[in-house]
Amino acid sequence: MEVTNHSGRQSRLIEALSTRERARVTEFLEPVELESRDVLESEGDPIRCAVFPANAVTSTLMELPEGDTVEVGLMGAEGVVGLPLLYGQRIANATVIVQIPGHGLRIPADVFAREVVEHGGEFYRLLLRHANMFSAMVAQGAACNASHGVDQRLARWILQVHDRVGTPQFPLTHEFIALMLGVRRASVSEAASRLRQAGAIDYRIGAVRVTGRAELEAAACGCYAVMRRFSDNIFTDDSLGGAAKPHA
Amino acid sequence: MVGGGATAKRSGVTPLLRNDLAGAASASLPPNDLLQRIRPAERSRLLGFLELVPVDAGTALCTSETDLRYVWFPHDAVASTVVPMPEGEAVDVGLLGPEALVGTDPLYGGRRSATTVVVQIAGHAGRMDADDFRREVVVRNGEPYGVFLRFAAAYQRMMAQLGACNARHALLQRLARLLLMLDDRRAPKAIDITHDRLADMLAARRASITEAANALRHSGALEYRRGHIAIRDRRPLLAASCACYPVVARLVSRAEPAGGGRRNRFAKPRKAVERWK
Repeated sequence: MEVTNHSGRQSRLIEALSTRERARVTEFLEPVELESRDVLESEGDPIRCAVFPANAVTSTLMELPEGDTVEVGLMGAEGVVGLPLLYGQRIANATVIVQIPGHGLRIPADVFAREVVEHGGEFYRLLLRHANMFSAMVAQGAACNASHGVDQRLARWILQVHDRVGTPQFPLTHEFIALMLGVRRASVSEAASRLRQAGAIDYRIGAVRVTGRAELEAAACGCYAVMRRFSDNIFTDDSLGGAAKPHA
Repeated sequence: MVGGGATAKRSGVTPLLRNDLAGAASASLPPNDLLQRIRPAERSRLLGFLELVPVDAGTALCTSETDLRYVWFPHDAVASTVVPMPEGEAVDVGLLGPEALVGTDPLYGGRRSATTVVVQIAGHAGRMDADDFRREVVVRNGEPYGVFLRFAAAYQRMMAQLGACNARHALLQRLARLLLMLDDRRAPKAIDITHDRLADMLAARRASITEAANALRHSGALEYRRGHIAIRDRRPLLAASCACYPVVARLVSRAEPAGGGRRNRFAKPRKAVERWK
């Protein structure tokens, strides 16, 4: 099948593979439309598929015991949803939803377990690198939540989404952003208004548009650059571990 | 506290007896529980590569974006994953004690450490050369690799929980949660830690920590004198803590039996939460 979707973006994880490994893996991939707020996995439930977003963006959510939900990580073309499968686990340890709709590819969980995890090799090693860097991003985000204000975090977050969507405008409501950042909706509206005054973004109901990338970067905390480096690290060669496959 | 990386490592760590982990010298030390989960034959093979060393508070066991030299197995030391903020402070996002290994990057094929882990409470840890670890655990790909990878996944889940907690919960709740987590990882009841360090760990001002700690002291939860915090009663701490505590406590439970509890570990937290509410 054709791996490239019609927006031109494809999974960087698939793109980074050698011709031979990509040919082997492509056989198991099927295209998937990712609709806004689709639940790709739900904490405590079995994982059905490993999903490789192309131009879609997903949110990894923690549900706090009192019922609030906070985003602890996001993924786009650099990521795979269904990380526990890499450790031989079939039960989701987080809830992952689609934040920005788009396309992706998926592999059913049992095929993934056999052809990626058990098989081992190049693809599996790359996915482990992603798992490691995603973990580092979660750590950075956790620290960011503790130390940075809503304005900085909102700017950081829009930059991260912008990087992954590849278009200047994307569908988002203040309500949804508030849910993601774990703050009140009014705080998001105030922060968004300041970013608009700075010329960084514009928005109307249900959509955000990046109008000044430099202004947005100036408004974000340094966590943006750190997390950007982590996601780029997935694709730089630092893999001398020789992980073949995990113990079943 | 973070910048000192390599120097701190050298000055803070003095090798004790080589290979004495299985011997009489370690009889008074509590074991590393992660190693205990591995079948005896595999475990004693790994122990042959471990060296027991004392580690001081403030020592960086691994440093972000730096080559990883050792993988560590804490016995009675407690460390935390510390994220240096671009402005210069650092925030703690996870705690590692006898239930843990420090330096998970080789499990993922990484040569460099993605995160910084700093000792918060001095003690002892077994250390294994990172090359030995790659060869004996990762390449060999036996039982320990699976056990360690699953720990790494549970630890990542813990950091995610604490990230959400940091975004939402009040300082008093988070301080109570942190003290319970420290208490879980430390056999003696006195926790050797200052308000300054607690303030660092929670990204709070020292004055706010003192205020919150006083409230906990008045509830009978703890007493403190010159850098030592003694937990007198866990019940008021449990009452003051956010419900994230039982969630993270279960994730890296020291009591979890080898091989079991997979479904439990990632089950929804509601039941446990209701118990503490």
